[in-house]
Amino acid sequence: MPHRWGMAADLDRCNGCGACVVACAAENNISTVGAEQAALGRAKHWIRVERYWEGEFPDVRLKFRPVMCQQCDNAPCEPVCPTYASHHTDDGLNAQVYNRCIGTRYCANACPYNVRFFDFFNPSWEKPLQLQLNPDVSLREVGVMEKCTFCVQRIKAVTVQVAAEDRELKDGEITPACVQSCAAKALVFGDLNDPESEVSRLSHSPRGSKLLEDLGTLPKVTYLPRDTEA
Amino acid sequence: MTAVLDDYLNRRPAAIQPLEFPHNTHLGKEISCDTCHEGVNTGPVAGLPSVKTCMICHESIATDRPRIQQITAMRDKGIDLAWQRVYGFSAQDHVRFDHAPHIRAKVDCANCHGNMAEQTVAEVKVDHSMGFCVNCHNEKKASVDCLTCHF
Repeated sequence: MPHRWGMAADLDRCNGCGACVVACAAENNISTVGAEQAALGRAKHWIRVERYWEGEFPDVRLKFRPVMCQQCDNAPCEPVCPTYASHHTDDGLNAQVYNRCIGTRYCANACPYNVRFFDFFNPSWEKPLQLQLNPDVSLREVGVMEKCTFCVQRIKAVTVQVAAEDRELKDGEITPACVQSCAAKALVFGDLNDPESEVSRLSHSPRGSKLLEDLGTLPKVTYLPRDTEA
Repeated sequence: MTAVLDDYLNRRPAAIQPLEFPHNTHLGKEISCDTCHEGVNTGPVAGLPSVKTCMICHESIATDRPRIQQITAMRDKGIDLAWQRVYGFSAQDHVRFDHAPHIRAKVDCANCHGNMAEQTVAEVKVDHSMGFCVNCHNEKKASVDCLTCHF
């Protein structure tokens, strides 16, 4: 049976530290847009931590929600792509193929989660930051759309190794950069087709919900909010 | 004209090697490829041999030849051989090639690199275009999803 990659985020554990954002940028060669563009309101993060204030001062409560590509099973970004650059793979990933992307930006307009980012410029790094680029991940040039891949380079590396050793994949063996760096272990990644996996268990939790569930996008990221209002 | 075409097709310029390495002589001795191109069975890239790898055999074999004396001198001075890669994809191709699964699938080295027994210094004998890859993937029923190679 093919794998079906999914993620779960336990919001009761997330303390909004932002380690996932940093790890993601380092792993995936995500260039910063620079001060000038940031001042114009541009940003480029494959994962972001959203903040929600609840209640009235002084009785306020802060909630965090890490948001990355939801890898929808019924992805709105896919049918709008004229070149099939955005397409679905057998293991359920919502793939973005840079070679095919011609930069129409239809997918980013269709995405309700605002997790697709267009490269308006060629990426650049201030020296010596170019030395820390990850050789396993493409540098996206100007004119293509990019987004969270669930660290497909890590998925590939582990599945190739598993095939070489002729064994079954262990739960938790694949860790995208955000999951690996999450000190609070709020993020869990794994195979949704494996009923024994941690991510399967969490995604079937009664606490679980999907982002903008009523749109029918069938996201593969499950959020587990705090269940009590203390 | 070819230079323009190479540029257009993202083909890399021909490699210039530090030493005229005779592949044919070595393969004639029935030395397998992975003896010198280490790591090719287990990882993405085929290793390029260091001068120390040469000296494993050439400490005692063919020590009277000028080229062997040349590399012995290099080893003694602590200089390594600056091999250049012959094959490879340009960054714009966004190709992530891994040797190991291909070798496990019993794809012969010659399939993609030509018959090395007929080459002295390695040359580009096979055009690694996408059509070439996809043909073989289709024949062997390997995945042809874009994300198999492009990510």
